[in-house]
Amino acid sequence: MQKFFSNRKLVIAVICVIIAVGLVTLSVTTRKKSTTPVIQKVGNDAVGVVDRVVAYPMNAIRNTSQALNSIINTYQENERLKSKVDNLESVRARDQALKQENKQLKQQVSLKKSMTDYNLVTATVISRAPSSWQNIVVINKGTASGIKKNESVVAGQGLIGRVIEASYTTSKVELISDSSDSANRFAIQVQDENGTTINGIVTSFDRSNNEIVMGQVTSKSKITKGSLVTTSGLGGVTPKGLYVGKVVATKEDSSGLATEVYIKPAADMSSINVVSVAALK
Amino acid sequence: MLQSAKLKFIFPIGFFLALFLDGSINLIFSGSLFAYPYSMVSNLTILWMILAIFFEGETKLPIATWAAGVGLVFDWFYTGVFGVNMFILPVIVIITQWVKVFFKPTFLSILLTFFLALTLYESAFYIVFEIVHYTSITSPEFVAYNLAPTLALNLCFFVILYLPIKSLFRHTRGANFRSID
Repeated sequence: MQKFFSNRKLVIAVICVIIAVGLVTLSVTTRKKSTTPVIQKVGNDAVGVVDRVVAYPMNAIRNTSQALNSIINTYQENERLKSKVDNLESVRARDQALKQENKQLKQQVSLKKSMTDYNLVTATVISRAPSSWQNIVVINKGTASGIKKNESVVAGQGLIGRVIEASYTTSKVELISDSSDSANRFAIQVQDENGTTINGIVTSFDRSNNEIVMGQVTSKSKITKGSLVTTSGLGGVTPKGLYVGKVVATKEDSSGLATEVYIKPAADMSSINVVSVAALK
Repeated sequence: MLQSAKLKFIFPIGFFLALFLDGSINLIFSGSLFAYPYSMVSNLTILWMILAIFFEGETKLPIATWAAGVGLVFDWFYTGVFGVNMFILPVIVIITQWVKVFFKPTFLSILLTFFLALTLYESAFYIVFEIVHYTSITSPEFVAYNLAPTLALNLCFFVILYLPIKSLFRHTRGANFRSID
């Protein structure tokens, strides 16, 4: 058997390692920037086109099976939804009145834009990265539809993540369940018993219970179970008022100095098909 | 040797197809694959690559080069971190080609090689992301919640796809080599 590492092979191996480390470092630094480089955008879109062709028959199968499933559930769902519809109408009317009032008040104090002004861009998920510890999905809209890097993404009812790369016609979304160091910390808020707002950030994700953790809350006031958690708009990246979830428990953290609030996310993080990107106006 | 082998075209097409199918399968079955805390991902790409190394016969496919290409597309499209799969995949190909000569290619030995290659791949992939802090899962959690379910799922895929892929390779690797096991 010949020696596995001859001199030449060793040199090539070392060069490869150096190139790999260099590329990883480059990628990590570019992700921190506010825009995605053009070459990466073009590549993403080109691969996206091929991916759509391959995914087309698979999606057809999925849609058929979903249609069959929904036929079975339609009756029960209809009953449940009917009761909600009446309620929704009144909420909508009130919402409209408040919106109007809000607009007038904003005009009076000559406030042009605030963190509650955002557009929702709806997109379909086209692929999910085959890495089990990093949750990234690829969606079929990009900068051409007005999506920018770092914008928040909601699915169905609640916040699910943020855009980490925006190409022309595709974007990558990192889910909130990822909880890696580099993930943006979402600024969120919840109201305590007396109606005082408690601000905090998403510090981690409890995988075993599928719950979002809002850590380092120093306020000693009591937060009731079932309180609604929304984004607070602090920091200027996330719009204000996106629904995150409901409080399920509060615990003291390991040091005993701060409180940890456990939040049941409103959106189902494991199965995501359609998302909306909240773009600040 | 002069006989043209269709495999030369089928192999790369299948390689990329496997890559995109992985993304699609992960999305379509995400409800059951990502049932927290467990998460498993389909890795048809690795399956195709390992089986190709054993079934290429005398066709001599440039598997490592294609693996680098597929790895680059993976990094580009799925994670956005370059230089990870692009180097891990060819290294796994080289290691597999190196150990392949030491035993007879039977179903069980190929299964075991696939098992080890997948473990190596997932671990290397995880370690790189752990180093750059793109994941916060601890190593025991990774082994119990991610690696073990992923291996189980992909071994199922292996058992189902072994014979179809074997016959596909046998019938496309050029007329002169069909007789070779």
